[in-house]
Amino acid sequence: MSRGAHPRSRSPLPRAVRVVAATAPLVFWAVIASAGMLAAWGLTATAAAPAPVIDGKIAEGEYASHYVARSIGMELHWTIEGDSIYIGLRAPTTGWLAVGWDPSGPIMQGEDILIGYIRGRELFLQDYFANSSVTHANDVSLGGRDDVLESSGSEDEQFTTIEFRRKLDTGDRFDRPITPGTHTVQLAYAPGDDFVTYHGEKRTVVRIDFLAGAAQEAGLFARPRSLGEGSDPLGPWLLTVATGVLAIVVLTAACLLWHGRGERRPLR
Amino acid sequence: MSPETGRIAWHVITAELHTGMLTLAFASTIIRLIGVWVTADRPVWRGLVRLAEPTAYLAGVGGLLALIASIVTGFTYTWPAEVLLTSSVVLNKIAITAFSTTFWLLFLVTRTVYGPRLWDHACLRWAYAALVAGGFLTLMLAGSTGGHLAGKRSMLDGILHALGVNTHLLFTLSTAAAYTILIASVSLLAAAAIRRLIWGRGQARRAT
Repeated sequence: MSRGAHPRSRSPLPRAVRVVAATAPLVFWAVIASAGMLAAWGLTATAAAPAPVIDGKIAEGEYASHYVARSIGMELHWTIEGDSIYIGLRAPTTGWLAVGWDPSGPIMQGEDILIGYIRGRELFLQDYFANSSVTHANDVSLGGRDDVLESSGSEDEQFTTIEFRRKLDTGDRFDRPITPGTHTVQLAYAPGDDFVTYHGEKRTVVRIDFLAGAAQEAGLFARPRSLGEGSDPLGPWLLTVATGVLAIVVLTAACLLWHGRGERRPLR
Repeated sequence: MSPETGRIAWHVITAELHTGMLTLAFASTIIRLIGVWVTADRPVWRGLVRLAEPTAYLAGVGGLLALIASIVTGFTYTWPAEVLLTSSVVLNKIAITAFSTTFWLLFLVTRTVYGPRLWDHACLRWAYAALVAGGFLTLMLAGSTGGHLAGKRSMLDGILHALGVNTHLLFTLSTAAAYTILIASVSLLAAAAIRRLIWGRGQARRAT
């Protein structure tokens, strides 16, 4: 052995092998951890909720979102699936239920309405449009389409449940598309198995973001707005009615007074 | 049947009742009017003409009573007053119904005052026919508007749209137009009254 040379311990294994041996456990745990994470993600990932079944019954958790209008005891459930929205309504009545959204005003004018009732186990559901502040008409009668794609309902002694599906944007000019953001939604029901019985106090207004699943009760609209902007139209209307009635009476009286010189014909 | 559903049915019933009876009154009056010129010597036609006159009167009485009942049920059994008075369609229907009631009331008053003799005078029978025609026309318009309120279409929609009439827009006259119509009507009445007075004096002078 020469002087100045430090003796080095010599491993019996080559350097490369030592490096691999040292890092192998790290690699192993990295692989194991990655595999675990992947497996965990696969196990815990929320499976896409199945679309609601339109069977006339609203099961617990069937819909992604729901709102309960406590003021009138009516429920609104909804799920957005692709380009369609599933809606479920339930109310303490054996008459009609309705949901409508986005009126342009006054009151409900311009609103897209879905209204239905159960009679003799048969569901009568129609796509309506509020063509005035207090009236509504069937979309078909107005020149549009009935855009309900599927529907079903059920009724017992106390409650009526209606479910239906339609597109978020039907393209019908008598429908209002459901878009991101808040929509003004009206819920109502009445005791009549028809489309015209007045709902009375069984109505409420809600602001709903269908896509976000948020809802906030907004209370009823304010007192019904007057017909036109600016001055009260009731004055001119009363004048018109009075003028018409008086004109009819006065002209009739004039005609009857005029007959004094009319020729006489033998009795028939 | 729930109370609410039952009450609104009264409006429907009275509306159907007055529509049927007043339509009968209109049809009977038209038959009687045609009978003035068409004097076919057929027993059936002569019998029809003879019966048409009292039928029109009696149907008019029943129809007017049902119309008044329909007005009452319409105000009390359909929607709250604040809803009724803020809807242009409802206000139009109320106005048309007011005109129709006036026409039918005058129809009955004329027949009651003059009796069947009114058919002997051309001016009277034309006035009578005009009243029944005005009453029937406004009755149809009121019914058509009622159909819109019920969410239905009306058979008159095509005709009304062709005439540019939109029952959903509140119909009002301007103040100037209203006063013009009233002044013209009163002027005609005054002219008729003066003419009648002059004619009456002439008759009296000839009698003496």
